[in-house]
Amino acid sequence: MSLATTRPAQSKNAGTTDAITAEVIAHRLRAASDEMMAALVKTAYSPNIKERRDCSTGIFDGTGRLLALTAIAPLHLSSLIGTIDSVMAHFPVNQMHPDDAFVVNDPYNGGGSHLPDITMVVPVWSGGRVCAFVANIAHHSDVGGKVPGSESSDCTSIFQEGLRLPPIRLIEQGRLNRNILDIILSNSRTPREREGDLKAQIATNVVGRRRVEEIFERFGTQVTLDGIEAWLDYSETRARAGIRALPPGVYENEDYIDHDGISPRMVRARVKVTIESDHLTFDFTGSDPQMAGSRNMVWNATLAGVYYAVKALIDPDLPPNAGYFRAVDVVAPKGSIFNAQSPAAVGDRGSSGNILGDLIFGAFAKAAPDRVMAGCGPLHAVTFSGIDPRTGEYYVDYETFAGAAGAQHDQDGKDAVRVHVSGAANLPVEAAEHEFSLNILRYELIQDSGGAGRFRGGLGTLREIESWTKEGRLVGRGLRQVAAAPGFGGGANGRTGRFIMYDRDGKKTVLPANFSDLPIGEGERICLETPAGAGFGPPFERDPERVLADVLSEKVSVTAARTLYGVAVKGTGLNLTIDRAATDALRGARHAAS
Amino acid sequence: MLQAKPPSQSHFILGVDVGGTFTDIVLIRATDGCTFLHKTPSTPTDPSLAMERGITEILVAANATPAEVQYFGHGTTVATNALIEGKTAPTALITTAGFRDILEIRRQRQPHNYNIRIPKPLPPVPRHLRREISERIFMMGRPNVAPTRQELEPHIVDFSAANVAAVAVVFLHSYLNASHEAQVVAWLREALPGTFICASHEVLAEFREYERTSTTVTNAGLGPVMSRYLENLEQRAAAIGLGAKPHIQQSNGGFATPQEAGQLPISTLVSGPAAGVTGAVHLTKQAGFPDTITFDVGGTSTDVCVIQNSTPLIAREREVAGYPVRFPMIDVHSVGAGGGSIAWIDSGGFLQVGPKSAGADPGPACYDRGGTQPTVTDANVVLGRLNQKALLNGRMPIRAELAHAAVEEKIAKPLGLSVEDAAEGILTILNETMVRAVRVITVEQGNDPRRFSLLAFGGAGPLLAGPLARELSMKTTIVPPGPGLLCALGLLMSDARRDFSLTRIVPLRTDARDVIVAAAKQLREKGEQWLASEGAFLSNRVLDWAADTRYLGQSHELTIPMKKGPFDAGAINNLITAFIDEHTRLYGYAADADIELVTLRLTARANVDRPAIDQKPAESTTREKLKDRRKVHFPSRGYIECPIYDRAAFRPGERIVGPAIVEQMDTTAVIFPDQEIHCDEHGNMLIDFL
Repeated sequence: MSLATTRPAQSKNAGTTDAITAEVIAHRLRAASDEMMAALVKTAYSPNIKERRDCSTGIFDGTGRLLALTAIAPLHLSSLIGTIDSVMAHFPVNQMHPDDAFVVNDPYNGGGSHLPDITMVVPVWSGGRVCAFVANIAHHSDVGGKVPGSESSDCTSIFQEGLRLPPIRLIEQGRLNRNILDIILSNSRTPREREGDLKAQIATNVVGRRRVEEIFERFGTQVTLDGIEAWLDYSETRARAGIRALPPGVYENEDYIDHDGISPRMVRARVKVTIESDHLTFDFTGSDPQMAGSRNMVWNATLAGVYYAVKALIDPDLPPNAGYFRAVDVVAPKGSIFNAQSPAAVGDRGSSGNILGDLIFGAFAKAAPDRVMAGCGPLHAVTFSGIDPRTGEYYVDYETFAGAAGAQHDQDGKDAVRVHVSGAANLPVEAAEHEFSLNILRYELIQDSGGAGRFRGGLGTLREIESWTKEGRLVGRGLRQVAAAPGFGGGANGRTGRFIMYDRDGKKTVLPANFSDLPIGEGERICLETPAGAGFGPPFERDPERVLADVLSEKVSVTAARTLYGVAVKGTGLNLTIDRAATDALRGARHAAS
Repeated sequence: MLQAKPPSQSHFILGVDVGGTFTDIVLIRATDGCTFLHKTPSTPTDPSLAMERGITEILVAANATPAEVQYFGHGTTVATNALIEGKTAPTALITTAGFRDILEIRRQRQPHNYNIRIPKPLPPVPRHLRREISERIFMMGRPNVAPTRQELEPHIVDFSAANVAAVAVVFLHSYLNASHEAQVVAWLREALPGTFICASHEVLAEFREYERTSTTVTNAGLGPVMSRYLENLEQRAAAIGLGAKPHIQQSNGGFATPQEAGQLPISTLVSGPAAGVTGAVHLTKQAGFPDTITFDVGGTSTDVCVIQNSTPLIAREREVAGYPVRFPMIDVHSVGAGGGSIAWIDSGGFLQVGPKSAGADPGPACYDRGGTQPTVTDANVVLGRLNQKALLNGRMPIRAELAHAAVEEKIAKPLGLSVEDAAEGILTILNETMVRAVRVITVEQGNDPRRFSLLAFGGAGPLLAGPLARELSMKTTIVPPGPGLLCALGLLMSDARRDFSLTRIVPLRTDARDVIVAAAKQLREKGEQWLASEGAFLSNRVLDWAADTRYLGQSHELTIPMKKGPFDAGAINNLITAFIDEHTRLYGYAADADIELVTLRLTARANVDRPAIDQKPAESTTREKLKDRRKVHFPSRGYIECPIYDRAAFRPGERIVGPAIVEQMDTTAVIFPDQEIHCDEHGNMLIDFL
């Protein structure tokens, strides 16, 4: 069945509002959303929102169309879509009051893409009716469920993943329903943080509502509504202009999720991208049915991946709103990995989101090779929990570590960066060692991990962590431990990732790609190696000077320079030079062979 | 040591601001406040050349001898330019084994979430010169590992071979225990004489290793560049025979000695805007406006800054050339829009203004130097707000018809607007950017812009201030006597200032008092040592204390001033109370959680004895203040026959009701029909809404 995001075509008539006024209204709507984001980040309690900015803010019109969205992490690009519809389905507008606030987190009920993302919605009144909504969504670092952090790839049902909230009225006519708040808090392992973050979310919507009211007051209800139509038309026009620069055609691609969260298994992901003049269709038909584990993506999560890719590929500054979405159709079969149905677990949808990014870029590689990057190394995540012997207190340390970006047609892949839909920062080593009973022993780039190519893939990272935690437990999840990031145009794949555990005697065990509740004793270590980015173009065409620079910086070994790139490097230490004759021989031999 | 002699019969104070294009020089005769201004092209290869020439010229103009110069304030962009142009010294890093890639892994973020084409900036130290030694300070579980001289040896050999000019030493947790860094620095200084060597605990004794590493290597790379520059500067000053040594403007608003600035060149980054804000503090305090937003509009960008209670807000970190530098600096917020910004229609059909600028070459269309894109300047010419014949007192001829044609062709026709409406549209959209910039530094920080006055300067500030003040309901707009004067004033009015900090992450409980007091003693010792080394000419020495604090589990800190310092018996309880108050004020709630100290801060300040400045408006002339009339377009009023005034002819007490245009050599002020001007006794023009 096809599920299109396109609503009935809107009127192109922006009424009597002049172009400049409409643009000013648009500026102010965007500014209002940005100010909400500033308020949320400023007033939040937890590092996950404050520092990692795992949150977004948005403004909708009275019918639920997205007008402005501030999303720092691309996975949030669509996290608010559908929320207003769901709230209105539960609470008809004529039953809403000024000073109401609604809360929801169930991804099967209009609430984002996994349970830790809690959305807060407030109606905005103008001229005696609901003219708009403001909303914000924030990733709460624990909402209950079977593991600390509420994100385990081996959950088999959403009921294992934490508290589910359908749209409910948290604040009625300005009065907070303390019972509901207590339910949320008592379902979290970290209630104090939750309370601070929820208060920040409430305060954020107060800011947003005031700003949007000011816009309606300043310009009048009708002029503002006309301005909104012009604004949506604008984004649509701009998106279509971007699409017109691409060669029309049908472009297909296939990639694999190499672990379904329960067992190592190749889960197929397929896309067919159709570029027609000024319109894009993404059809995920042919992707496998939803998985046993929690790497499934609900419809919203898939939209986020698509909207991210469209922005990155056609116009990075394209303002996200319902107008731009009109130029894009998405089709994903119900019950597939990209349109999971209840009660499929969805906690680790972010991992699949990164594969989705590679999948779409791979399809566009055929249409616009100068705009894409080769396959990327997604994050690896570990969550430590247990008791810090220095304080006797229980702690949860939820961290995600970057892989690397794939190479592009004219530049190397970025080493050690978060890719595609994910964007969270790391925690400083010195902060981690203060806060948790852990020693970080190494944090470095992995030599020779980047896929070879005319342009090299980015290097993955290694982080070695020693635990002195009592009753320590580990949760880990990773992708691309089997199916490596694919190289483009003859470039090599990126190196795969892995988790290794060392006991106190240094005995080494390779861990599975996904695990939870794994005991880790005092003095035991875990070593994460994140997957690297893939190369672009044939490695033997790489400029030997670039290979030499990579050898000097020890990003590429002398051996790999010779075997992968056909470049012979001689000398030692800082005195390295290219052995021209040997290089010509190596590269010539390859030419002769082919 | 700072030199400042007691006032003699005739003495002068001198300020020199070396910018990328021009070197600005101001000389004030202390006896009567008579001010001389001079501008000369900069000499980028050796900036002290232009300075020497300019000083010699201005002294002749003022009929002064070099020895009569008894205070010399100096602002320089040497450090900023070296970073932006990648002309820092070849730098190496010695760091903890296992962590040489901290500088390259960064915070693991992409440079841009959606624009994958933007590459990561090159690390300030290449990987082959980032060297590790087995050294470690552990928080638990293992004994510390001390560095050895032997392990350093091969690195020293390589650094010599690679002609490294600077070495940074950064070890994990050095803010807790500096002994390892200090030992390695001592070994390096002995082995590599003449090489600039700095340790992270001396540059920034704070936790968060990426930011500390970036700050320390940036400082190291600038060290040799800055030291060489300052040596030249001092030699030139001595050769001219100036009666004072230079005082170097820092970005925290204070000045440093050349020796200090040479050791801590990062303290001079963004010192140019900081000097402007420091001058603004002085001017607005004198004019009776302690709460002010500065609005400095240049050709390509606009700087805004909050001054509250005559104190500019301080930022702790800024990104320069893609890498963070963590050091206290005046919090100047910049946006890429100014007088030269180009207006264009984007692919969705909206009017955009900036961030591209026509610059000085080709410049706005009306300059007739080949520019065909309409700019903010062109829009103002079209509307008659800027002189349609010539700018810069006649030195820059203007062809209004070219401005008209550019706005018509590129904006009015595509949007179906009249040329005037298109020009008004350009200014309206530009104003949205300005409004946003001010809201970011006020509303988003919990401040109400309506409480503030607006200080408009830079070439286009007074031209664009009206709509901004109106939109934000701000109080009086202040236009200082000259747009370039504030920077010079700032150079002359700065106090000596140095900031110290030390991270100690401990719960704020009475049992942590010993740790806190011990850390505070370390800081106090540094502060007092610094004050003592600055010489006998400093007065009003002050030590200001503050503490970065947070709730347990938070990752961000609030800096809370400690009025009575950290030694007082009630200090911890006072700090807790003040933190809860501030958290509630800023975020609207207090949490039921323990509070921890993160970093102690100490600011040492002192005034320098220098001749008092009694700066006066220009000498009275017999010029007629009303110099012309022309048609000027105003929103919703259309064209009005409008009087054009000559700023130079204004006297204190002057009152004029808008509409009016006030022209002076280097700027133009627009007085809207609902505004009026009042000239104060200091030569400022105060503009209020009727």
